[in-house]
Amino acid sequence: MATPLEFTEEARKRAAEILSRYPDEYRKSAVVPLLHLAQEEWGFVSPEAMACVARLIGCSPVKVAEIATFYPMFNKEPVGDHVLAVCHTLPCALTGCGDIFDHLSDKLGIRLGETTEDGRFTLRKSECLAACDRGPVLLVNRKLHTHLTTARVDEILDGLEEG
Amino acid sequence: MATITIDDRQYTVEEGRNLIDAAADLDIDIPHFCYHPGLAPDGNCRMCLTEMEIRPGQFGIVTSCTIRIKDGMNFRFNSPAVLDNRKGIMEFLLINHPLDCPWCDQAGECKLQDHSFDHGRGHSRFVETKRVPPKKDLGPHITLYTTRCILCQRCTRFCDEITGTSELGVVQMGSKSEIATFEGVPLDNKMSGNVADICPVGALVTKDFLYKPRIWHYDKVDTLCPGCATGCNTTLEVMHQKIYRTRPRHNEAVNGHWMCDEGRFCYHDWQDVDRLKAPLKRVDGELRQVTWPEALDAAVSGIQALLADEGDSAMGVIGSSMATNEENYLLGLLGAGAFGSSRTGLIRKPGGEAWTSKSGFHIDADKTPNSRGAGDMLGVDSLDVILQGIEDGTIRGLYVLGGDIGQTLSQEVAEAFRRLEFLVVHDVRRSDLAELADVVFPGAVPFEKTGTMTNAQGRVQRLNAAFPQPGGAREDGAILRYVGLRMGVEMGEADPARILEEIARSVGGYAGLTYDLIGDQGAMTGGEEPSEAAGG
Ligand code: SF4
Ligand code: SF4
Ligand code: FES
Ligand code: FES
Repeated sequence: MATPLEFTEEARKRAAEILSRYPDEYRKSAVVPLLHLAQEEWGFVSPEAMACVARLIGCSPVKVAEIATFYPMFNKEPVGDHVLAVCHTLPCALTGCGDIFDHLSDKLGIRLGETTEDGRFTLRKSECLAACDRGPVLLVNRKLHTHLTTARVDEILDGLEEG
Repeated sequence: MATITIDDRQYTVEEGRNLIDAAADLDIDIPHFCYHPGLAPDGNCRMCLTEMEIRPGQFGIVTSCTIRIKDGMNFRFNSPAVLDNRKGIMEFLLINHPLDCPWCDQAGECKLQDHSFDHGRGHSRFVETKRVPPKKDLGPHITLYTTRCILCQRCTRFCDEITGTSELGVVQMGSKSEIATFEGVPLDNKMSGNVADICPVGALVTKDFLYKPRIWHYDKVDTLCPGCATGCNTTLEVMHQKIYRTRPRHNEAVNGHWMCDEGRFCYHDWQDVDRLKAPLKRVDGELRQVTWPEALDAAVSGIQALLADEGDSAMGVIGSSMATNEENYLLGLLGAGAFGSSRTGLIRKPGGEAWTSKSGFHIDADKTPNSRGAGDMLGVDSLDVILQGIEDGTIRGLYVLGGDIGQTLSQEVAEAFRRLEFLVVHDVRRSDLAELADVVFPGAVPFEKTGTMTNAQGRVQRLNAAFPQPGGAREDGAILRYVGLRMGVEMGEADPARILEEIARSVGGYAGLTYDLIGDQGAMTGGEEPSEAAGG
């Protein structure tokens, strides 16, 4: 394994704050917020980052890997500035999420799971985002967009370009 | 005790017992995968679902593995809902399973095979492509055939609950879930081999057993591990006078369901030894192979030359922590009866590493299986008396049981033995001890012996021979009787059960012990069961 990662001073303070929310015998419960912190810190959760979290909560690193690999929102590899996730579960499929995905793929010139060369966008599919009555839906970073059309998608991307 | 109802019949079972175990006591098999009596119930595989009366007259589906028996419980093990459920679970489990039974290590002792046979539908309705994740090298002893895994998590729970090393986890999600180690942290602990035993399918296999002949060709022999003074109960799988696999045999008071890796694989060391297959006699300063009668004559005449007409003789005897209680006892008889000697000794092997797992499984520092029993039989636990006798010239000859392939003599002992006028040794190889001897009798290794041994707790347990000794080698007890006969000492029948009766009459702490009482789970010396189970 590569050299061990350590949180910066600032992140360490936040980690301590997160851990203080849990009784000592349940330190392991802090694993999800700490993985979020790691993702903010390094952009993705590498095995070294998992090991860092494991040291903080005092467990075997594979137990952190169990959690980190279970949740698709933890990036296991470097991603672009914006992560676009098109819901592809059945209700959204019925409202035409396939077209939305293909449009994004053509427009950005990348396929599922890839990142644009300029490092701005990563394209993904996601399971149900709990907005089935408003499909097709797209998650841009942490913001959910509903009732999508290809035109609306272009607007959203343009908004990001400007921002 | 509690009275429960199963399919309209009443049974009396132990209160608080796990339902799967309670049913097994009644010879009723509740099919299950994730439950293992040595681990905490997890309820994840859903194979054990049965119906239980949850309100008067109303039945609901429950996981048997998480039910503890209470008086009045009422179950349906074979209702249509239960049978239907089993069929469904089997179908789900087989969706991604490769069904590569013809070359799977587990074939013939696989729960998935057994339960498919009993509860499966006999054909697959799955027309999509199966997932084929690659196999993984998990650690020094264990490989994971990832495709075969049914994610019961017995292996992860073993590493969490028993060893406390937690090397295994389930990574990814849903149909992509897999057992994995973390990079740089392999499955490498003192008991890792057990995960292959408890894996209900052929997913976890030991590299040692991989692609050996099919399991149904072996004879199984229940015996003891010779690796240390814990005395783990084992079952050997044997064919053509060779051991192919050692597995732990359940004994709650000793090893629980487990054994350590060193003990599991130590049979190789014993099998790799260049064995003595004929007696040796020193001729013109060199050990030469001779016939049994020649060797016996040489031993007896050499010993007789040293025997005194009265008083303690110039002979002493040294027992072996590798020999059974009966063999050490016969050695004592030979010493007292034929040599007129009261001086005995035991060579203690320098201690190794002791280790206790999170669950309390203990590996003893004493790397011999029977130093306690040998000491009890000969009333001695060191070489002090012997070394003193050699030093002051009152001991001029020795009769020594060897047989430990991992032992070398300390310089002090070797030097003392060199000063002897006559040395008779039993050994299994040309050890440094054998090299000093005037006569060497080819003895047996623990896998070739029948008798009892006493572990560090004081538990007397049975050792059973898996096969005969090679060539002209003999059990040490038999050799002692040959020598005894030539010297006019009647040692009785060789049967270890009979010798144990004699031991029970004459050795303190062994009173009341019989071969039958010891059975396959052992019995304590001093007649007392330890208050706390040590098995872990
Ligand atoms: S490898 Fe075996 S013991 Fe481990 S989860 Fe899979 S089937 Fe169960
Ligand atoms: S603990 Fe001792 S007796 Fe048990 S398997 Fe290991 S070496 Fe053998
Ligand atoms: S299916 Fe897309 S939000 Fe539920
Ligand atoms: S044995 Fe009960 S759920 Fe697996």
